Amino acid sequence: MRPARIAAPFVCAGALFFLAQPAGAAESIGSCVVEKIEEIGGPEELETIVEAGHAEGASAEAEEALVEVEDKLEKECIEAPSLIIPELNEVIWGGGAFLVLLAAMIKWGFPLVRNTMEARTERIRTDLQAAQAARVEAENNQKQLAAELAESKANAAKIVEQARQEALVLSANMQVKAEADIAEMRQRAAGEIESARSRALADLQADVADIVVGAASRVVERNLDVNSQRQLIDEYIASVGRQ
Amino acid sequence: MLALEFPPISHLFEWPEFAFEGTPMAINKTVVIYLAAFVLTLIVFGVGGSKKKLVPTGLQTVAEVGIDFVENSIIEPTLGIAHGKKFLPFLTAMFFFVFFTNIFEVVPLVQFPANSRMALPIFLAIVVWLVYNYQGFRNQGIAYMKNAIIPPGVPVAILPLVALIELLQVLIIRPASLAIRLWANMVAGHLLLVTFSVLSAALWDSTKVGAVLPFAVLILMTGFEILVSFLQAFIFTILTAVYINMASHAEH
Repeated sequence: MRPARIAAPFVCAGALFFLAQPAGAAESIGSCVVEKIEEIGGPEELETIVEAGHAEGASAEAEEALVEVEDKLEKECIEAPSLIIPELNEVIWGGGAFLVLLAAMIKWGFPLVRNTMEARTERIRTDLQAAQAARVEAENNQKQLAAELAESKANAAKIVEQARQEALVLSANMQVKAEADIAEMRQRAAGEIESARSRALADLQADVADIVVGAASRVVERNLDVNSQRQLIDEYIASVGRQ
Repeated sequence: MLALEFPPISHLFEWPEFAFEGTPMAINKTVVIYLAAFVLTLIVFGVGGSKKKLVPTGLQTVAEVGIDFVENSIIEPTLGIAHGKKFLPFLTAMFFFVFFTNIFEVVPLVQFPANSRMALPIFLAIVVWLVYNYQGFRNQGIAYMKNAIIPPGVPVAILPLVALIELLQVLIIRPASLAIRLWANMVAGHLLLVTFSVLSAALWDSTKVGAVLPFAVLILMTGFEILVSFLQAFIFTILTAVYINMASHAEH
């Protein structure tokens, strides 16, 4: 695709060049000669001049006329002008155009473009300097942040260590307190158990005494055999239980 | 005027006048091309310079790349940036003007390199001659001519001959070769294109198929002449810079 794109303008230019040239050089010389013959007075007039000029005993005027016609055709249609000698009008126009262009370029065109380029260079330089300053500032900020981060990490480690130590102390204290509480609770519970036991023993002793007194009073009331005594005791106990 | 028909052979290079005929201000096709090159150069720098885009496009690119090209590829290797900076507008104007007058060789319907006429090359060569000699006298004073024609280290026996050759070179050969090189290259290129187009046309009329090869060569030559147009503008400008530089400093 790329070579085709590159070739396309050349093909177009070549085609235009080709189409723009409908005839060859020889034809053009021919058409120029025809044109000049018409200027002379037409083919008949030319033939007359040629015949008169080549005729035996031709007059000097006839020969001169023939030479003049041949010179005209040769110089104007066949002989190329000197290419090395510049034409005055072209020197004036070409030279004038260049000098005016040079003056316009020095005073106006060149500074216009150059100033734009220098302004761009200056702007890029300023931007680069700003970017450099921003980079330095960012690096400083980064260093500062890194320092702050390190300090924060140190502080955090310090706080964590402090908290750990406090936690250990607290834990130890709590353990001691808990053990003291437990011991106190045990002591209190033991006391309560002891007092409850004492109360129970006292109650039991009182009950037993009552029972024994009751039973004895019954026994005393009746002299009974062993079975009767036992029955009485059992009945008494049962009655006590019902009470 | 337009290249719509094959001109008489005398008009391959010499075009009829169509305004102010017979006067020193007569206008023909060559003059129109000079004026077109003048206008085109002004448009490139006027329009291109009036745009202030940070990233250049279009004519701004052409103008800026043109200046960069002249500065970096012509001035820097010959005069040096510091010394050659003051010649940048002169050399840029010369490069663009010569290039535009050349490139009309392949512009459809124009198809004529104005520098195949001797007028502009010889005028520019005279301008260059004036500039480098002025620069020589300005930098070296009266010793410029002595330094220019008497190279150091030349044996006394051949000094007169060398001095004569050097004198001819400084005064005549440099500007003449500058003008003739440009002119002859454009004449040759134009003849080449005309020859192949005439051959193609003649063979098309007679054989059709026979026109294929010369037409293909014509296309190739058209591309080649674009390169030649640019190259000749470059050579003319860089030689100008070289001559200015040679005149600015004495040989050691």
